[in-house]
Amino acid sequence: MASTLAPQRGAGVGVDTRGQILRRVLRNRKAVAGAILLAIIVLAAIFADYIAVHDPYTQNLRNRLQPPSGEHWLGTDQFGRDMFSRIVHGARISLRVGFISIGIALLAGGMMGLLAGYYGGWLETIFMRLVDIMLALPGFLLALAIVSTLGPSLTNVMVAVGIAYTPGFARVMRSAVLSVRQLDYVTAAQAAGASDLRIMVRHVVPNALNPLIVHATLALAGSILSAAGLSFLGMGAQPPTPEWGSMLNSARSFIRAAHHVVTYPGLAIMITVLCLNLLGDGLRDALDPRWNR
Amino acid sequence: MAQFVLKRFLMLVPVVLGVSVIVFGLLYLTPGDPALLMLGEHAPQEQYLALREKLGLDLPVHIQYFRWLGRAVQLDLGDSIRSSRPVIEEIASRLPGTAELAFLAVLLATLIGIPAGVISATRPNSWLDNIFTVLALGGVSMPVFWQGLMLIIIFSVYLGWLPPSGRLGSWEYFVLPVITLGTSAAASITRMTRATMLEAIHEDYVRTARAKGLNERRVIYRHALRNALLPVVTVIGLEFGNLMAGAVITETIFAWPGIGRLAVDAIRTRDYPVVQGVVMTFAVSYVLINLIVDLLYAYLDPRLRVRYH
Repeated sequence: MASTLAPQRGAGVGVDTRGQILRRVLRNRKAVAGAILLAIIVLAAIFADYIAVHDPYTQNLRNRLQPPSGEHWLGTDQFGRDMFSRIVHGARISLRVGFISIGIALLAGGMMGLLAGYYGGWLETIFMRLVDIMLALPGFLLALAIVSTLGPSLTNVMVAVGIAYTPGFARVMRSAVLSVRQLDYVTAAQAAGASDLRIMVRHVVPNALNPLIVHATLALAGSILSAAGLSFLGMGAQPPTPEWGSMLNSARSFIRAAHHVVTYPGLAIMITVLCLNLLGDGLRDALDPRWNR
Repeated sequence: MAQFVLKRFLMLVPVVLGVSVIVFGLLYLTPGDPALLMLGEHAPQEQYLALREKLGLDLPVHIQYFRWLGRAVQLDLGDSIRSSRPVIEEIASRLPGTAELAFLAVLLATLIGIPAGVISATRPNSWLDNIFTVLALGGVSMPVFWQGLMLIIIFSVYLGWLPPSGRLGSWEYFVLPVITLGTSAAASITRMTRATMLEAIHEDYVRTARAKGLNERRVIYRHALRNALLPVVTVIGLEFGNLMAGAVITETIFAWPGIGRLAVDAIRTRDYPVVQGVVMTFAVSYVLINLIVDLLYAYLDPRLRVRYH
């Protein structure tokens, strides 16, 4: 029975070879579906200039708020700009914002968690109390508070969301490090006289990667939602940037006349976040022995 | 138990103090003169000097912090720059609006999430489970602001059944904001309940209960669900955090008189004392709610109480 093995959970980390892990991921339908969808969105973002034939900034005031048609697949917005082009170009912005903010959080939080978990002592106390304090404010509100002082801009949104997601990564990294630090091969490496840096880089971090990858995928979904939310409140991307949240914000007053200006940018956010959540769920099922059944 | 409660309560003090440093520091991290930021470039000289004097900007930063903190613990958060009213009054008049919205949203989310999760877990991979799983995944992936606008389009613009915004007392005004705010919480609770129930159903004590010949209903609700609910309680507590964030957006869309919209308006008009006050209020309520959740957890799980004695 699987549950009787539960106490050794942490010890099971790192037993599987890379090939086995990859096979488990590929067998998971959610992970594969999420990865394929994400690949399509990433490709659309990269080749936006070729896919979207209209310029996302060109206004045509005689052609305002047109419903979807053969010429404009998703209609036009309040300035007569092609919605499809704006949404495809928006994928670039949202993905970039998501990846950069999670990159910041991963670096800062991962470092904090690694040092806290590996060295323990006062360093751990300081870092983890700091994490507790940051977690006392819900992430989105922390990000909102930070952007409100830095001023509204897309760069500041990336910094703010990155800071807001840092404590989560610190916690995940620390607990992953704690579960491998006591293992025999780490003790053996220490006994063999390996430096702390070498042990961390060669032995601890690779074995903490699985939970970190799962967390990063789900956090990416959350950060894209948060960033779009901040832009929706007018704290992020500013018009005329084709950012999904800011498009929704400026189109709000036109929902009575033409609901498509609100429907499609939101749908784009939802599909992107959905495929990241699918991928994250699937990776968790495949990588985290706790969720295997 | 009293000792446990006291211990947990005292652990909050450093956290709240830490948050107060962040909240206070936010204003001073910005490049430039806070008084100038608040009043704008074209404010008259005497007004500017008066605000500098009032905020104590000529004093060393740590003295300023302790002065601010000393007043804050006496619930004096300064005056709003825009309305000149005390910040605490502004917050007190708006807090009930947010509280009722958040309470109803959590209630809705729990009433939907727990049964949906139990049904999913007891019939894994059935069509009902698949529907709930897909809906829950959609629920956690949907942007709150988009959902709110879509509900307005469908129920106010097209069907004309419900008012698109405002809060004039009757129940119709509550429907759309509560659904908007509660959806993602309902989805999270469904997902968590399903996962923990699936785990619980495979435990030995459930097999024992079945072997004793108890009927399936009793096995599920008395034995499995009771144990599965523990992590769900934690999720409900954490969802309050998302709800506060959601309230900021929901209140903005539905023109709801709560502290979320107060925060957004204050940020837009650079009314920093109000921003600081609202952020502090959010943090303190979140920390208190999670304290209650922890205590509830200890009440539900006697093993935790024992550990602290």
